[in-house]
Amino acid sequence: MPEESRAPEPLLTVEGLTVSTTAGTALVRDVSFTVEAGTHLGVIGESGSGKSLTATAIVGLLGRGLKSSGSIRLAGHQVIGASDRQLVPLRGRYAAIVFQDPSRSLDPLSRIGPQVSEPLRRFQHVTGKALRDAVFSALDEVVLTDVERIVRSYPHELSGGQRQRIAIALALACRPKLLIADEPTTALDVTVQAEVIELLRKLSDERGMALIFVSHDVGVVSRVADSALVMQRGVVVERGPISQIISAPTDPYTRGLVHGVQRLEAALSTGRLT
Amino acid sequence: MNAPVESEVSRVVGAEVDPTSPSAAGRGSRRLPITFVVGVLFLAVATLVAILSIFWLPHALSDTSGGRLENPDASHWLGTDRLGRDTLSYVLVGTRIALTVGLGAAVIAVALGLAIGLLAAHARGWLDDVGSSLLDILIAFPTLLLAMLIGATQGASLTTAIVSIGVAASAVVARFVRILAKRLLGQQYVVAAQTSGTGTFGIVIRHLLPNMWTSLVVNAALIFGAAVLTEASLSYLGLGVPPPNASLGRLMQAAQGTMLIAPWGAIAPGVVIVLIVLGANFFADGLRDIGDPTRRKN
Repeated sequence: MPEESRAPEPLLTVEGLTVSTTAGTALVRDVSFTVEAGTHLGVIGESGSGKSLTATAIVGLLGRGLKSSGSIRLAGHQVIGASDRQLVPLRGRYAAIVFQDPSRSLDPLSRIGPQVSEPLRRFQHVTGKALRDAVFSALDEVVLTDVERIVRSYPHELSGGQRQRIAIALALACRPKLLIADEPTTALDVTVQAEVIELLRKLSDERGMALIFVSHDVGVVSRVADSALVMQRGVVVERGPISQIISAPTDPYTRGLVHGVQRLEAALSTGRLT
Repeated sequence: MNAPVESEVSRVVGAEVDPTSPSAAGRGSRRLPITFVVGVLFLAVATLVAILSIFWLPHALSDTSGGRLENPDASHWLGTDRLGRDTLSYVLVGTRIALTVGLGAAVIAVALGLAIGLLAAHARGWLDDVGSSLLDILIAFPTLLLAMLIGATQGASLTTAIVSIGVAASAVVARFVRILAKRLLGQQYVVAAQTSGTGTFGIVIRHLLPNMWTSLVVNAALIFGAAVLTEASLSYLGLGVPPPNASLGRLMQAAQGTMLIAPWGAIAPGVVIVLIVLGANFFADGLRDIGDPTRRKN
């Protein structure tokens, strides 16, 4: 904890992160990046490129059979090699995650109200009437309407977009310094996607919260992130400001990704696929 | 109007009846699985009989004033045994003992099994391997044999019977709790809760227990039934609940020598055992149907 006061360290510093199976296969190799407080980093890559593993490694929650090496410093605390006892106080307070599939990230047997109130109670120390108010304002904040009904609903009674907003509200209830959004829009349809992206950007700006936005979609990332990493097969192949990645990609894989998007957009505007 | 709308309406109306709430049992009985209703009925009757036996018996257990091995009549509804004691009185008390053993064993099995299972799910590496191997060994060891061993070394008593049957059954609970907990721990909503800093205790209370609840109760009911059977077997072998307590198994054992002259003495306790065990199994089966939304839908 005393390290926390040492000023100029970035919120998150990942150095030489390698995630491998216990059998020794490296799934993420030598990934390094930093996230300053309040900035938005995009992580772009196809399925299996190691984006999500990198994201979960940051909070020390890799599944069984996976181990990480290198260095991850979150708000001055080393995550790799830390025990659960040391990690639990870091999770939520410094970093929270919104997952890809909102139908699986809410407990199916618990109503929304109790689920949202749990982190609020823990992080904002409110109870009773104040807790109820906090639940309502947390749900208002993620632009949910009909909150009265939603707090009494089970997850299966809500739409995908509503569930993802609730998952975001759950993550935000912890007041994290860093929000990791792991493909938060992939399971949603396009119009809802746009709303959720707008919401994430607005909320992170309002709170000065840093954002790591993980996606396979260059177009989506470009709307949220200031800078980005492109990952392929567990390795960072390109990094830089998002404008530079789109306008002047150097890596062949990035060029392919960007070209694909441009081709699609051209086709959409002209009506012809070239 | 047309059929789809009607079925939609009936589904919505039906949905208002919460099948798990006790008050719905009367109104919504057509929606409850028949096995559940029959199971509850059997167990309720057995429980009432057991409670009744605390306050009232047709004849005192020590009363030998009836004739020996008499057929059922107005005074002795199930006849008498070879010492002239009232069979019905013994069956009533035996029912109470059987239910006590079943309930006690189920509670011990679930409490102990839950604790061991959760610890095993939480453990990693060699501890998990050794733990689950020990559980498998305990499960492979016959319950009856274990109960006999404990009974023989500690001396037969009601407590010994309850504890030994409960401990033996706890291995089965521990194994399924471990598997269920491991599966739940891999669920994204549990991981999501962990990423927002919910500690192990919070995960267990908020996510694991609520999601295991139905399975636990179903298993408890099955263990209850099995425990009643095991107690009867132990008593039949002379290792169960000792006299002066009545035991259904011992009643059968005592009556088997006079089966041909006075069949009631053996038939009555046998039928009661069957009804209790059947009731418990029906109850468990029905509860599983109610608790499983995938079965409930159609």
